Amino acid sequence: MIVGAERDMAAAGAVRYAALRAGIIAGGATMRIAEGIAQLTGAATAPAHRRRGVHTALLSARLADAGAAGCEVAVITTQPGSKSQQNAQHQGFDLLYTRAVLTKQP
Amino acid sequence: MESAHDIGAGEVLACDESFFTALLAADYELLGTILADDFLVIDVLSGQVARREELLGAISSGQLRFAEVTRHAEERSVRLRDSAAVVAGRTRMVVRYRGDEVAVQSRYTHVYTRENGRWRLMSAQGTPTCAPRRSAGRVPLFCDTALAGRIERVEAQLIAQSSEAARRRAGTAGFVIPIAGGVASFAGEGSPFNKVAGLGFGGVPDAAALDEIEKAFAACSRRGLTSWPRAPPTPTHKGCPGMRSSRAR
Repeated sequence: MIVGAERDMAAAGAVRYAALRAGIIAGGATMRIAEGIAQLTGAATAPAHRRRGVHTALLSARLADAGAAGCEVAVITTQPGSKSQQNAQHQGFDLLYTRAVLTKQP
Repeated sequence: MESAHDIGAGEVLACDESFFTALLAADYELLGTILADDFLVIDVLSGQVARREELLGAISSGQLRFAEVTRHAEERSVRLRDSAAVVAGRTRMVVRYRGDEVAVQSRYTHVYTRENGRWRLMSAQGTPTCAPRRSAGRVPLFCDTALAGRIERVEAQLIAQSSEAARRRAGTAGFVIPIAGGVASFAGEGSPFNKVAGLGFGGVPDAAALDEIEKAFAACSRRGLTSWPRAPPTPTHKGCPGMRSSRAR
């Protein structure tokens, strides 16, 4: 399901990044640029390669490309209170706003 | 007439100046030509070691920004050998790293080496001359409704285009319905693109439009395509225990 979703986002204009450690794929991420906004999506690191700066390298590469492409803002969406939110804020991202997630049971 | 020593010292000082110019301009390509392949810097604030690619990466990504670098040229000295030079100097810098801004006055030592007729910076270390001053805190980016609208619009585009790609790829039934500046999407069972996103920046959706969307989700669920709550993974699946009817991300 995840692999399919990544392919579908690539078809929607997202660019895929692979992080290599010693020639082995250690992680991946995607980014889609539109209207001066870089949406950073789907970053993941293989368990064997965690705590080696893979995520930071993927973030740095995408931010550099976003800056070179003239983007004003890069956006990451996280669950509230999650490790991902903590990581994003540690990397210098500001909390912009909260999305309401509404569900309705029949 | 200038001696060979003076010419060499002048070249080193010019290289040192280019280093600071590249930092200020965040010109990582120029910086890449100045730093030796085995360059390392011992950070003036943390004492941590960063290598060439780490410094270039932090500069190119914008995580590290040199907002000001004041050089005290009168205090800069060069000691020169055949293929090595050491520059000692003093600076005042305002540095932004991952959102934090720090002003630091320091003395630095830069070690240059001559490789293939060019001077390259091999090692850099700074020592603060007084306690670094952290800014009272950077003001976080304010997100007005126009910026939020842009972000939600591109999110809705991503969902809509991904949803269409998912249905093309899998050949499944589904829909993408524009609503109130956002989009309602169903891309197949369990798809992360099953949602209503970006709703409300193009006006308030009326009840009839929401009813249409609920009917569209219900129609997909009747075909056994519903994703919420997940149907148990059994081959004897009969209908669905529930339905996602309206969801704004």
